[in-house]
Amino acid sequence: MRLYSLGEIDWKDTQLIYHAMAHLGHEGVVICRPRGPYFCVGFHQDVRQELALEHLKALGVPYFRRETGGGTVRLDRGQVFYQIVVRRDDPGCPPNPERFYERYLQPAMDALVKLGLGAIVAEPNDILVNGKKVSGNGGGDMGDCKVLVGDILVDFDAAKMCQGLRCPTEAFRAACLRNMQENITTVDAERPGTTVEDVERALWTAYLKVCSDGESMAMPPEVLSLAKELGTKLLSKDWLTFSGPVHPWRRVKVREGVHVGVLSVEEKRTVLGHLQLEFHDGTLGSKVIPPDRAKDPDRAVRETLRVLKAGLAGDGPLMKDLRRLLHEMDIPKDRMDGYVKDLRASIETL
Amino acid sequence: MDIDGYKVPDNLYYHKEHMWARVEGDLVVIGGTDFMMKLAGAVKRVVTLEEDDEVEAGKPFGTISTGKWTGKVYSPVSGEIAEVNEEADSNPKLINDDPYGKGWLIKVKPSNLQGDLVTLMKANDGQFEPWFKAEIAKHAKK
Repeated sequence: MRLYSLGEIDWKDTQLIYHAMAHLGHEGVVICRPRGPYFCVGFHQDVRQELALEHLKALGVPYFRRETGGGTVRLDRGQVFYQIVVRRDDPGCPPNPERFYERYLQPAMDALVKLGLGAIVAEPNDILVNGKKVSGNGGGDMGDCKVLVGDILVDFDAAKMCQGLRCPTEAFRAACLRNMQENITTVDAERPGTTVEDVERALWTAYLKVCSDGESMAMPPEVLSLAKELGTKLLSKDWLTFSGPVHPWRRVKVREGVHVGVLSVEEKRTVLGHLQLEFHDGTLGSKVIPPDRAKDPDRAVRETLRVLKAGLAGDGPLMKDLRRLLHEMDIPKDRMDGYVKDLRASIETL
Repeated sequence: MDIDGYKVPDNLYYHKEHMWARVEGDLVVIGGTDFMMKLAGAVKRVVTLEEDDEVEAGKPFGTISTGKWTGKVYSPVSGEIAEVNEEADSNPKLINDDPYGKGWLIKVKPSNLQGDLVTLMKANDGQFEPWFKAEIAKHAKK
């Protein structure tokens, strides 16, 4: 396995190169960063449900749908990427995602420690400093390879991230922003003055230890050629606008164990209001909020509560949607009933 | 049958990529095992090939995503997809909650059923339990 340290490159290449490596079965670690901002969604995400596409278009900010898992991210020059591609038939390839993350996040952890940050892994795939996320990671099977893609946040603009998200209400957007500000940190915030170059060097040193074939300054031409070819597919409208089922809820994962969710409450196909949920390390909070343009917000909340109380009393569609949203928020199956019961009780008191 | 806390029904055929197959009339129902789902965590999305598409034994026919990972699902038999579980598509929670029942993934009209079945394992075969326990050990936390 070889290490490729590419520095600052075109935003598209920060995605296309590791895709090409995986599809060619070319093992390696890539360290790079994008020349400009873009949004990136996971393989199974629908950009029309995830992103404020009109807003991004107005700003000229592009977006990409990668072949690996994980959620929506806003990527920019202040983030340093590490991308690991390992063949499934490599005897050293860890057998499952958890072990894969464990093995290949360790160098990123070592790099942060070298920079003076006390980093820990929040299993399976976040790296935290002082309880806040400083690195997000996703992975998946691609071609005959397993791939991990992650980044270290040297700088991160939570407001710009939230502006680019599709949000059913502005209250939901505000909740996302607050949770990001409270639960995401950056290298610069923790160790002021640390630059992206410092982080690149630390990552280079740490990942070189898992690259038995050493470093290479140039990417093989067949990888670059396939990357260019893949660009035609992976930047096409058909690929980017992959459509998933449309649900009456929206969920944003902020870090492992922290989610913001919202369930729209409808009657006769009209949205009366929303049940907004915030899940924070095992604690579930809820509130009922009116639609953004409600003429009479108090009345909208009362009407929403009326429908919620009736809908959550049984096991009808609203309850099923609530359970699906809680599943999306990683509430474990064996604790689902307890959270539903508590939520129902708290709504009854409103 | 239960092995170390994982359900492995006796009436199913098992593929080494932790997929199961059940013969129902002239179709084969296919899904992921309890072991696979417990290892994967909460499934958020499943995307498979569509009806009438061809599948090949041992080759991927779709992907499941858990939020942290997008992994492939493999077909234990060759044939043509007769039905895709639309309910699991809109409610992937079923795949975790009921992997051998409502959480099935596809039904296949097999093209080489007997030939494919002999390559699969059954839970009450002598070699299944040692293989399965070795898989548990391989994937277990260190």
